[in-house]
Formats: sequence, structure tokens, C-alpha cells
Amino acid sequence: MTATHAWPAAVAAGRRRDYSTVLAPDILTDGYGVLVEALSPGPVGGPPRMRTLGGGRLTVAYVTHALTTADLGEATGRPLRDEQSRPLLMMYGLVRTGTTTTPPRRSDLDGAKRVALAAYRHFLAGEEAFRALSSRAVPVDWPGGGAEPPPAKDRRVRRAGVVAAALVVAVALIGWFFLRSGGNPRPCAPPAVVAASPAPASCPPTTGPPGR
Amino acid sequence: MNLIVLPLLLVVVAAVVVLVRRRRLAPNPAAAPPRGDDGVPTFRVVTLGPRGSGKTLLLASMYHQMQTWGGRGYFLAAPREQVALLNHWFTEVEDPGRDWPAGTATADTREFAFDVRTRGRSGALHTVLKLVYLDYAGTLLTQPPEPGSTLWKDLDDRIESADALVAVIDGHRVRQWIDGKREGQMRLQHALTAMISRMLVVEKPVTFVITKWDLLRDVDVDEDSRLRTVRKLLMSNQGFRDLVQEHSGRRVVRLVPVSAVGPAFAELDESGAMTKLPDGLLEPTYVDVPIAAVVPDVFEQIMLRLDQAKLAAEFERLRRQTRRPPGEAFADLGATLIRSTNRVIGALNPLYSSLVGLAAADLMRRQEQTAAAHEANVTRLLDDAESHIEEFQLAQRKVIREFRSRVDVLEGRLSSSRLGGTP
Repeated sequence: MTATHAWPAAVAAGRRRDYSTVLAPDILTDGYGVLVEALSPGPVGGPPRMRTLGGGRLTVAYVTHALTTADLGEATGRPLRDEQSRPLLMMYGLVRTGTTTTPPRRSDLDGAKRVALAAYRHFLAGEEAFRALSSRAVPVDWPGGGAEPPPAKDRRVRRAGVVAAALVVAVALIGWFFLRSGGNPRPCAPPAVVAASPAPASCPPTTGPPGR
Repeated sequence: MNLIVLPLLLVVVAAVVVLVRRRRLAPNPAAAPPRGDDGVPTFRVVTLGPRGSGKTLLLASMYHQMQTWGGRGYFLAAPREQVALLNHWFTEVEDPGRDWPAGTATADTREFAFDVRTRGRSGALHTVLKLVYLDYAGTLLTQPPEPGSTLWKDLDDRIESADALVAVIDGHRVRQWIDGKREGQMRLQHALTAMISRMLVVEKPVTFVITKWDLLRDVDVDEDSRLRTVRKLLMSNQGFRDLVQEHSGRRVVRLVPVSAVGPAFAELDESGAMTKLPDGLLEPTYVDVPIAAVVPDVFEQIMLRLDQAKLAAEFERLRRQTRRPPGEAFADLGATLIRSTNRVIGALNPLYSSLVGLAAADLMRRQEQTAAAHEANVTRLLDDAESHIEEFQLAQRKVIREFRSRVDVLEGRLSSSRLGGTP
């Protein structure tokens, strides 16, 4: 299975503000905080890292980029630093539905970088009041996504279902057992023949309508 | 028919029981790690501090200094992957040709578990205490949570369950404030407010740590005067003042200056940026004190919270119990103290009762005796207990005494470092 659409995303540190979501898929408008909690910096320029989000509903592939003044449009590429003189890093990448361990193509990640850097410039311009910008899905060629095991949350739900079904069956069986063996006793029909044997513990079988 | 239904019922009930038990036994990654592994007390430390205040660097420097004996009777050990990470951070700092390490990302929130190890009389190594130290991104403290994130709540829970708190005050901001830069003052006030609002609601021992102490080296003539100046500055913050004044009778509050790199390693350039000196000398200062203060402070706080009459009665009972082995008597005393101070140390494992009893006896004598007489008493106490208390407990006690001694040395040198909870 190949994803045909994915959303650019980015988490980065500012000069004053700590790591924040800078760019988030429009499908995560109400929950984009999962990105900042999932994207941990890797080696700068290293291979894409993969993380699943939302219990396996989404996959994000991202790389770590050391920000420079060139990213802000300046000719020189001096490292950008925060107030404590530490280098500023940005994690940018693509988010898609489903799970996969295959990273997207480099060209698609480069496309995401352009969108992420544009968002980062907005972030730097007003860090204090900044709120993550929304990204729209873009066409990508990102294979994988069909062969992963069901996410943990689904397994939990399935297990809870089995327990609930077992309980229902148990309650039904218990109820049936007690009702059936005298929970609502009905008067026995008078025996047609008095035998010399001891009285039966339960009603003998009858063929006519009961309770007459 | 009954012969079929009953086994069926049994099978269903057994299946439910097995499923429920499996669920209960399965490890829950969100739950806090268990305390008192194998009876070794675990003390949890949460360091509060805004972004860039130096929390991670303090941790790396502290571990670097305490991972070997270094003239102490104990050292810290950590899992291999954590050792690698801490040493990597320290190497980044140490190398004048490399950048400072980047800030901690929110996703990198993690706990470091340190074993405090020492040698017993037989020469065997013992893990006598465990310290769990939380490292996290400062954003969790000072910025509003992003939609859908859960770590903010997680941090609050960890603060609630911590045994001691370390509040990090950025020495760079203090320097800016002293230099009359409004931004430094504002940032520091904001950070103090965020930290104190959380600290006011939990009654744990608090160590305020002033990081980047090297940036303040020219503020006053000597170190104690310097610390007094900073203390005065901090006391002008209402929240800080309230915390110290309101809680000084019932909780231990300290002010410890530290420098992860020392006075001759880095300096502020004309743009205000922190730059490493090409031939800088790395000499961390006091970085071991905050962690050394945790355990004695927890015990001291127990004593501060106790009804003194009740405590005296407990000790009288202890004295009368001459027929009982000291180890057993101390365990009994400790159990009583844990019960009495449940609100303060509610999470402290009852397994630690012997340790608490011994520490209480030490602290009680400290209050009664001069330092020299105290030492003699402790020695006598140890001698009495020696034949009954196992090697492990003696080793444990030796380490706690060393922790205590490290804090005493700092207090002797910098009298302004004690803010509250006078013993």
C-alpha cells in the first residue's frame, strides 16, 4: 500500500521559547501536542526517524536539522542560537495515516522542509504568542502501511470485548441455570399413577398443560 | 444437562480470572517505578527549572563528579545507556571546540536511576540507596500545554510523588538582574512564580540551586557575601519570600550555588553570549551538594514535622527497650515515625523503617549535643548496634552520614545557604 497524501509537520526550539509544535497537520488541530511529545532530536543530517502517533493511527517520519541564518534567508549560514548560546534544532517531516516502518522519499521530505522553514520564520517573528500553523495534505509517494500488527489500543479494546462477552455469557448461563432449576417454581401436576417408589425430587415429566 | 453447564461456567469464570490477572500483572509503562527494590530505599528527586537554566548540565556534571570515589566513601552507578548519555553530554560541554549541548526536547523527558554504592566492612560493594532523578524540558514548567499533550499533567504527578524538590535558579538571569537588565529580572520572576506555585502545595524538602555561579564571581568580595546578595535579591520576590517564611519552621529549604563548569571555563562575551574559553579549566563547583542533601533533608523534615513531646516519648521507649536488639528497636521507632509523619513522607516505604529510626536517632542527638560530642555519640551508637545490625545497614548509615557531612561543610562555609527548617 502506498500513501498518496501526507502532511508536513515540524517541532523546533526558538530563541526564547522551548521546543514547540511549529507546523501540524490540519487533522491534528485539536491535538497537535502529540508531536512535541513524540519527536526527539536525532543526529543532525541523519536518516529519517519514524514514530507512530495516536495509538498507531498516524505515522510520522522526520529528520533533525540544525537551524542557520541561511534558513532565515540570509546569505551566510551561521548557526542560530538561543539565549543560552545553544544551537537551535528543528525536527521536520511528514505525517501519514496508518503505520509503516518505511520512510518517505527524500524529495518528499525536502518538500516538507520548505513548508516547515516557512512556518519557523513565523514562529521566530513572534515566539511568545505563536500557535502551531496548520498544514494541508500534499501528494507523496510513500510505500508501506498495510502489514503492521494491530495497534496496542485495538488489542486492548479487543481483550475488553472478550471479557465483556464472557461476563454476559456467564450471567446468562447462571440466570438460566437458576431459573431452570426452580427459580420460579410452578406447582407440580398431580401424578397420574401413585407408584411404590419414593417421591421424586423434582416434578415428573408431564405431557398436558401445566398448572391446571 | 447440569453436568454440561457447570463445567462451562467454571471455564468462563476461569477465563475471566486469567484475563484480569494477566492485565494486573502486565507492566504499566505510565506507572511510577516501584519503590524499595529489594529493600533498598529509593528517593525521588524532581528538578524544577525553566528552559536553559542548566538542569541537564547540572545532572551531567553531578554524575561526572560522583561516578567515582573521588575521596568519598561512596559513588554513583547508573544503567549503561544512561552512563553513555550523561558522559556524552559532559564531553560536549568539556570540549572547547564543540558547541554547548542543545536544549532538552519535550520528548526527551526521562528518569535517571542512580545506585549509591559503598563498600561494607567485608569489602563487598553494596547498593545502599537509590536516587531517581527526573530530567525534562523546561517548557513543561513555564509554557502552557499544547492541545492534546499529557506530559504537563505527568510532571505535576511526579512533583506530587517526589521525596525532594530541587528548584533551579538561572545564575545568568541573576547576573542580568544585578546588572540592571530588566529582562533578566522579568524572566527570573516568571520562573520563580512557576516553580513556587507548584512547591507551595507540596511539603517536601526544597533545595534552591543557583546554577552558573561562575558568572557571579565578581559580584562581591567573598562567596558568602555573594550568596547573601543573591539571597537578598531573591527575597524581594514575594513568592520566594512567602515560601521561605511560611515553611521555614516545617520544611528544609536551602540555597546552594553550583557551577557545572567552574569559574575558569566560560565567560559572557560582549553580546551576552556564553562562550567557552580556548584554554578553559573545567572545575565543577558544589554540583554534588543538591543530591547529597536529598536524603538527610528528607529525614530532617520528618523530625521537623514531629510533635517533639511524642518524639521524646518514643526515644524514652527506645531507651527502656534494653532487652531488644538495637536493629529491631530502631526499626520499631522508624515505623512509628513513618506513621506519624505520613503526610510528609506518605510514599516512603515501611521497609525503610530501620533506616528512618537510625537517622532519627542521629538527628535527635545532633540537636542535643555539640558537634564533637555528637560524633562520639554516633560512634557509640554504631558500636552498640554493630553486633546486631547487618553490614548492609552499617554501610547505608555510613553513606547517609557522609551526605550529611557534605551539606554541613557547605553550611559551615556559606551560612546564607540555609533558608529554612533550622535543626
